[in-house]
Amino acid sequence: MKKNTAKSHRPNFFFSIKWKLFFVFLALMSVIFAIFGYFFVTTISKEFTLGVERSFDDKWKREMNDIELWFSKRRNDFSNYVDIIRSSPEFTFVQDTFNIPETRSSIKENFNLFLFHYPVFFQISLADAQTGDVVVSSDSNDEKTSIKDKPYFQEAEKGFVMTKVMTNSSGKHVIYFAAPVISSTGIRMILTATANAFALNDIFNDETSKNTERYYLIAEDRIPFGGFPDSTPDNNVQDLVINRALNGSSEHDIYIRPDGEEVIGYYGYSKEYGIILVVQEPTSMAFAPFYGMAKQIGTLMFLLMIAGILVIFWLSRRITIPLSKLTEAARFSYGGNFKKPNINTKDEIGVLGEAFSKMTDNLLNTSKEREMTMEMLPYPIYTLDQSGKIIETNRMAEKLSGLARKDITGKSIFDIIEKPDGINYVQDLFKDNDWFEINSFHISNGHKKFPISISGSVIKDNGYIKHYVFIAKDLRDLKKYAKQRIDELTPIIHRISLGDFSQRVELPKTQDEFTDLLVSIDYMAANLEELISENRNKTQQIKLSEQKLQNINMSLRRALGRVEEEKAKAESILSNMGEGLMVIDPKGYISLINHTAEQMFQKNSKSVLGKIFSTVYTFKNEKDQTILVNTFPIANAIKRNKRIFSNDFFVRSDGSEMPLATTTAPIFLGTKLFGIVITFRDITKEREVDRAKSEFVSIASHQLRTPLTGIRWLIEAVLKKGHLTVWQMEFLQDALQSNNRMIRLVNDLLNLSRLETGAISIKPKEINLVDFLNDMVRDYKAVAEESQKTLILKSDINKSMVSCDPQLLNQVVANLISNAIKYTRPKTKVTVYLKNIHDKVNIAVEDKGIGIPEDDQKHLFTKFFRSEQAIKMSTSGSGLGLYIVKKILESLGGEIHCSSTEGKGSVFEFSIPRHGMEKKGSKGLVGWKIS
Amino acid sequence: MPKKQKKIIIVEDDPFLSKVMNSTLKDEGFEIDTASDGKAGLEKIMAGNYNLVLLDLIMPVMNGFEVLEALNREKIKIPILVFSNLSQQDDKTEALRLGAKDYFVKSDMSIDEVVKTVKKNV
Repeated sequence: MKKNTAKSHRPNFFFSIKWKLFFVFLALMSVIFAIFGYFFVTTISKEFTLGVERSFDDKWKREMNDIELWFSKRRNDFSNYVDIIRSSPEFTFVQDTFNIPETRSSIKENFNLFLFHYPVFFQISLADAQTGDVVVSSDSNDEKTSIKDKPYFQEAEKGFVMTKVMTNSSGKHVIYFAAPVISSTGIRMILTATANAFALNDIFNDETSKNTERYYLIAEDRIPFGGFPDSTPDNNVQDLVINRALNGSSEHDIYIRPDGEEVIGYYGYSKEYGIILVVQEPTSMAFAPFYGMAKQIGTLMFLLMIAGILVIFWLSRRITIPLSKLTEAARFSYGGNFKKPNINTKDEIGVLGEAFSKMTDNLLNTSKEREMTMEMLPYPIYTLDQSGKIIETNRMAEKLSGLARKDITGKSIFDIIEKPDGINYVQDLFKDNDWFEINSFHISNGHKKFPISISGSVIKDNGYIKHYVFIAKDLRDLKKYAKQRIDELTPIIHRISLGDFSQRVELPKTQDEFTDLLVSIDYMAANLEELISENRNKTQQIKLSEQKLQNINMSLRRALGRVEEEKAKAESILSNMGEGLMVIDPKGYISLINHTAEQMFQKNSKSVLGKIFSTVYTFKNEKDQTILVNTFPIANAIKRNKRIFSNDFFVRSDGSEMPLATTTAPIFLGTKLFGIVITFRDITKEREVDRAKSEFVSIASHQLRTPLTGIRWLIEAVLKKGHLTVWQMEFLQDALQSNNRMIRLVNDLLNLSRLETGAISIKPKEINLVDFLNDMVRDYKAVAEESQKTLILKSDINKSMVSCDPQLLNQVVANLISNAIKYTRPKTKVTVYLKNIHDKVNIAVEDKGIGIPEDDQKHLFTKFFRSEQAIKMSTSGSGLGLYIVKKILESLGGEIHCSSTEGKGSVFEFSIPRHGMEKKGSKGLVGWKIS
Repeated sequence: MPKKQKKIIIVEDDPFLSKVMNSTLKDEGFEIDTASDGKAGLEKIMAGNYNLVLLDLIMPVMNGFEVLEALNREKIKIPILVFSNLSQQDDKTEALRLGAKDYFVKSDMSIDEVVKTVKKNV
């Protein structure tokens, strides 16, 4: 563990400052070297290349000069000879001279002498200037040949000629020389000499053979004829180079030789001499000195770098050694052995070191202080290592055990303190805590054991246990002390337990745990005293309240008596009333049922009270659905907070049904629902009467209609057949009209009867009134046109949806339209208007008739009323039409009124609700279907 | 006659109505058969080959509804016009439900209208 601790404070090798610094310097140097090296190498190589090129230029120029010099020497040689020949008396040529053998040999000898002296030339001859025939030649073979077609011949007649390098007939590279010579006899001759171009190699005589460059002398025919160091050179010159040279380029270049080697070359062409001079050298050779130099520079740089690195290392050590010292000191300090770093540098690290020394001094002092404190503390203290061995202790410990300090240190703590049961090691005492406190006994050899308390704590270092510190406390004295204090406390507690809280406790002068206890007891006693006195006051107040309550109770009893009386009255009324009555609480439990209901539903109150009504009785609504607590009409009554009238059925135990007129009403007390009152009336008999009445009307009207139909059709058949006198026809038509009126009357009476008995079932449907009225107007248009009247519909809207019984609405509108057609004057218009007004629709029928007197208007909608005007106009009315219209509209939840101006016309206007006819309630109409 | 006569049966208990319908329709060129109660009517309809049936509802022995039901049971398809003096919507709905082609209230019709209706439906 110790290792671990130390390791964690040693700087990581690669992250230590000394290596960091080293690498920083190294990186810096590398960058400088890289930059410096780059510039150095590029400059050197550029300079060197230039140098090489320049030296090549120089060499080429020098050789060219040599060539020029060579040529001028040869010219001199020849021209001198020509002068000699011209001035020589031997050459007083005459034609014949050449035929003289002596002369010829003399000339030949002279020629050979010349050739001997000037070995560059290998042939010399004289030729006739006119014919070109060679007269005398150093080479006998040439004699009798002609030089007339030689290129220099023409020119030679005019003066001295020296040709460029040419190829002669035998393929040899030569230079021709020619000059005119006139003999004393005036014969014109031409002296020619041929020089060997190979002799040009002489120019390289001053070159040293060590050189690695190669010189090439190339004739215009591209064939090399000389060079250096090889005087008969290879053909290792690029065609391209030769082409460029022939085209006049004179420059240096780096290129690949035909044998594949890279060379640097300088080439140029002298037109005057017909020579291409090429100097070329393999680049490896040309630049060899440069590479050598580069190697030297590299070595130098490497050495410099090594030196640099050493310097860097030294420099970084200069910085890091003080740092290392500081780190070392810090590490020592961490371990508890304070050590001052020895740093003499004057830089920041020096300052840091100084500060660290100062700090160490302070710490050393603190450490001493700690030791002093430990020594001075009035408790025995033991510092233990991890194994529980005592490594440090104090004066009080010596005193406690009677042993010298040197005898205590080194011992196990369990040699001093008795090991408690179940404890094996020191750390067991802590049980995962950082401290503990136990009572144990002090033991040491030769001493009696005595009680002590031991407390200990852990000294941790970076999460790991480093030391334990134990403090002992001698309990021998404390026990005596405690007994004494408890003796003081006993009388006080005794007094309080007897209920005497009035005396305050006197606090002792010594302050310890017992003092706190005494203060608490005294405080408690004071509180109790206060509470007791408060209690006395309250008891009196309660007595007064009790009296008041008794008075109230008396009044209540009296009131209750009156309520009981009222209740008895109400109950008697309820039980004797003719209708069944039931009260249901908000949860659906039956809370009251009267005698009539008991009888009606064949169950006594005991068996139903307190039960959910739908579990005891079966009720069904008109749609044959079982009525539950949360369904219509109960829920509806609660929701709307009003009485709901409905027709339901009670289902008897044998399955037969009893029709009921039911009234359901919620009982609210304030806003709280208290219950629901339901009253039932058995309407079996009423239903039977209704049915009988309805059936009678239905059958009666049928029975009445049948003979009337017979009369109608028979008369019509007779009229149809014809062959009647005017008189017969008129009377039969009257009979027919009378009969039709009778039929209408029967129809009206039937309708009326149905309306009044409520034997009409309203079947609402969604209708678009615009379409509905359009259809009706179309149907009645023909009727109107028969009597030269028109019928139109005026509507601003193209859709008006209403929920209404179309059959009944048709009856209303038909009645009004046919009335209007009947009463409007001929050639006038009947107009039907349609308007939407909020949640209603308005339909008006307007005619241009005689109008209705004001007095009659109020009677218009009564039974059997017919205005006098109407009777005058048509005798066939029953006086029931408008009454029926009014009745139907009432059942549809609508209303009608009439406005009329005498002589101008009338308007019958009615309105019906757009939605939910049932909202308005169909008063007087019960929905039982009668078949 | 180039065109074959259409055969119509009138099932009607009232003798006067039966007579006047018979006479008028014969004049219009139809071949007419009559029955004075529902049962007789049903037997004739099942035996004969009629183009159209004119059926009353309130009749002795067997009423018109029963005739319609019986025809449904026997799966006999034949156009039937109900001519009755029952003027309630419920009766009309029931008759149409049982398969009648159309429903008319006799007292609301003239004899001419009867002829027109028959011609339209035959």
